[in-house]
Amino acid sequence: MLKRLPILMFIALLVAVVGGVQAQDEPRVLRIGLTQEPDMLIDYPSNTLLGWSMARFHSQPQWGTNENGEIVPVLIDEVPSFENGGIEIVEDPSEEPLVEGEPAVDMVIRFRIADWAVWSDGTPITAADFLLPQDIATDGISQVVSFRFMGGFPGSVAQGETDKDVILTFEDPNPDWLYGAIVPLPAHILRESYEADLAEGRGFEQNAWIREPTVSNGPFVFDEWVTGSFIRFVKNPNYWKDVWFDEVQFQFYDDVSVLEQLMIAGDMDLTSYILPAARAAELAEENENLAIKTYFIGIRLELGFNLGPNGHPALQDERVRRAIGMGIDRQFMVEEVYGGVAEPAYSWWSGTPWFNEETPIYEYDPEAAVALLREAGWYDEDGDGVAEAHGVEGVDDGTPLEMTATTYADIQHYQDSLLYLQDALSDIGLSFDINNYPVGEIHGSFTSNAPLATGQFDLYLIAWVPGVSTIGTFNPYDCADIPSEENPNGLNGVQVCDERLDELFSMMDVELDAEARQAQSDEIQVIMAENSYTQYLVNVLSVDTYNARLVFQRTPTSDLTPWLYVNEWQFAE
Amino acid sequence: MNNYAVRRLLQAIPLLFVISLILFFLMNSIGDPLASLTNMPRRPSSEQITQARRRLGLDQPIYMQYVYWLVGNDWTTIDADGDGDREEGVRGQRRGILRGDLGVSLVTQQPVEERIIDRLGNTMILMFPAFVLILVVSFALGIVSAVRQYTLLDDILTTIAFLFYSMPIFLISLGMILLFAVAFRNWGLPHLPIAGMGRPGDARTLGTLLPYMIMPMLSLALVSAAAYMRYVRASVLEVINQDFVRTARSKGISGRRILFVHVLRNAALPLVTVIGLDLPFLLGGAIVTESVFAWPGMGMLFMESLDRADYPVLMAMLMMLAVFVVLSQFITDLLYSVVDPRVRLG
Repeated sequence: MLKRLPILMFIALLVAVVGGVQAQDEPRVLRIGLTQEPDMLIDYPSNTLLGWSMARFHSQPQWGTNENGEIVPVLIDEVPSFENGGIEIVEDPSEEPLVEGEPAVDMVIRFRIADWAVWSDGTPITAADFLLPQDIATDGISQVVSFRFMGGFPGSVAQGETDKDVILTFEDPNPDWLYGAIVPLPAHILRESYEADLAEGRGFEQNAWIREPTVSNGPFVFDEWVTGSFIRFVKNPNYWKDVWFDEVQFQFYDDVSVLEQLMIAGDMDLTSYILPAARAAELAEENENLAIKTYFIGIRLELGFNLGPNGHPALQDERVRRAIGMGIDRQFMVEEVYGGVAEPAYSWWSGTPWFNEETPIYEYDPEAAVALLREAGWYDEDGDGVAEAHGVEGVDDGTPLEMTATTYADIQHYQDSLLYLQDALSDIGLSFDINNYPVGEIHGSFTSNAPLATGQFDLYLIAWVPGVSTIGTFNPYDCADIPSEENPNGLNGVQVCDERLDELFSMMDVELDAEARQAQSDEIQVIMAENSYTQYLVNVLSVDTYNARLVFQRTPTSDLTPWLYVNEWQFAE
Repeated sequence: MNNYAVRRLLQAIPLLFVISLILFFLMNSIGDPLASLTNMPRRPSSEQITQARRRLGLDQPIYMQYVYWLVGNDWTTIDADGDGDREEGVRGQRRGILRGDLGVSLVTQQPVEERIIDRLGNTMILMFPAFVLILVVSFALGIVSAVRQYTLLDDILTTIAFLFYSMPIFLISLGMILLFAVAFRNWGLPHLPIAGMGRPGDARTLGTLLPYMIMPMLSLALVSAAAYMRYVRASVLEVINQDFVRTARSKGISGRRILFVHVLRNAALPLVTVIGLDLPFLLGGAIVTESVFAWPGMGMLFMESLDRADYPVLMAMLMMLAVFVVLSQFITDLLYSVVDPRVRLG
């Protein structure tokens, strides 16, 4: 018996230790599971979407957008508008005019910070807190990513009549002025240390506060960050609305299957965007304690064609591009690849209020696609299942319709989608090999020989994120933005170049009239479809998998203030 | 002996230089640290990406980036605002790895040494007890297996060893989670936490850490002990049949004394080499185990940095490993002369 004593003691210790872990679940703690850790908690110097999102978790800008895309006040009582005099267009003789013969104009927006808006330490939020980000963004030393401040639009911030009044000036009329939203920084805490650092040549990114923002203006305030494990936020005692949770924990788990088990076991309350849609739906069906919520944040999958000199010559013919579109069953993709958690897409604005119903849609019709390819001179005569060129101008007869396709090697549903396309398009005589690359490699620059920038593909499955809060968007098809030695970071790797498209996108950038802007986007959608410049495939819905006891009626779909209603979230009684 | 030590250390310098050169060029081809910018709802323009690239110095030719990494950039002006021109009078702040500056993370903007120190402790907490467990288990079972060669016990131990050795560690890890965390919980038994290093807000003590350590430690131990056990068994068997052991037996020395004094000392020689080679990797962490159990150590840091193409962090970690490998081989050679008096270094 004595010989076994150490073993018995070990077992007893193990049971005691293990038993101690069972006392889980503190009251009113929301646990959110992530597979990645943010780089920092202030977004101005952050290169990542997660850094941006976390910054908006604890601190909010002056205005935001709600689930309906409407602009709502956050740190202010009233959103400025032309009607209430908060926005005006003023002449600026110091600038070059946009349109010849007309004076150059600025767009000036005035807003007043609400008296109830205070930092978590009780200090009122003032114009000085909006000026600090501008100083940091323009000091020439700090590593601030330029589009983080005022959405990257040229402009400036100034204090108005009182320290509660702020004036934003955009150098051009800006229909997307809502993106001029600025997350203020507490000048009473940071100004001194920032200036001291600057005097010694150190930028804001070296300020430890960006990882420990102990003062915030949102419902929760930072408390603790254990690198690689978790970040803990506690209730902001000075928040001006009721907050149900006492604490929010972001916990990091690299392995998605582990995160699934934590969700099933009830050790985690919410994961967003992490589980693939189909898997999330399956989990919710199998486990009654889990539920899912889906929403569209603007991620749209499309099959791009390389229209540059390195692309397959067949792709220069619109009929071939259209035939490829007609060979794809979008509804099948929605159901089989995305488990029903997606929507077919036919334009850049599919799934948003700005979709043009007149956009030509070429539905799935493989027989018509084969006929169209034949008309274009591409058909299978030798019976190997792959079409060849027959009398196609500039192409040797017999050249097979064989291409290469690429997508992200590190995102499973893209690969699944590409495999489906490979199978579906083989039915119309198009064969392609798949060479996938990690995100970091595919989106590299021309000088780093990145596959997209240098045209090492024929077909490219990509998802742009144009957003859903505004009709205004970036132009991924800009003729001047084709990657090259001179423009190594050009966006337009597919080399679509249409002067009218460029003109329309440029007009949309400064068009203040909503109807005129809609007309411009309508025309863009028709041009894109008629020329089959790309094939939009599906809108990928984002999925929140959550514990069914978590009640959050209003899920923000906003791409401006993603945590707008987090103070309202609670557990069911 | 002293000459030997100095010569070996001097030889390490060009070796580490070549390693750093190869690694730097490899690391620069793993991806673009700014690629994550492409998935923003308000996507930056190509001009804004170019600006960000210049500010981080990523627009520089790769050989210049290597020079800055090696000797720093505080001797030259830099393009701090990313406008394409170097600012008059604004010098870089990096001192280079040769002056002890490991650089700055391209992702978090933190000094790399801070990132590593944050994680190194966690890796040690997991790896050293695991390594001790591996050595104890493998020596015990390896010796038993050798002494009882070709018995049922030997067969069972050999089968188990091959089973664990041939199993991928992620399978063992996930299997453990399913059994000890999920199934035990469902059966109403005392269970282990699924993953992590403790509950947020709890003080980190042995009591709070231990439940979280058990599964990752066992996963590591099962795979590695299986391999080590086979080494121990083979070494002991080789020695146990030699003439001096037979002589010792004929002199009436007890079996236990023969085993622990004569056999083990000689059998330890090849094991010193194996252990010496494995030791540096303790500091590198266990990538799969740390990932599955969300243990925030060096392995996880490596994966995170690889995902985000954060090459200053990757470079520092790999160089650190390279230095430890060179050092541990050096120490192993010295140990050889201690364990085996026939070996003379000079």
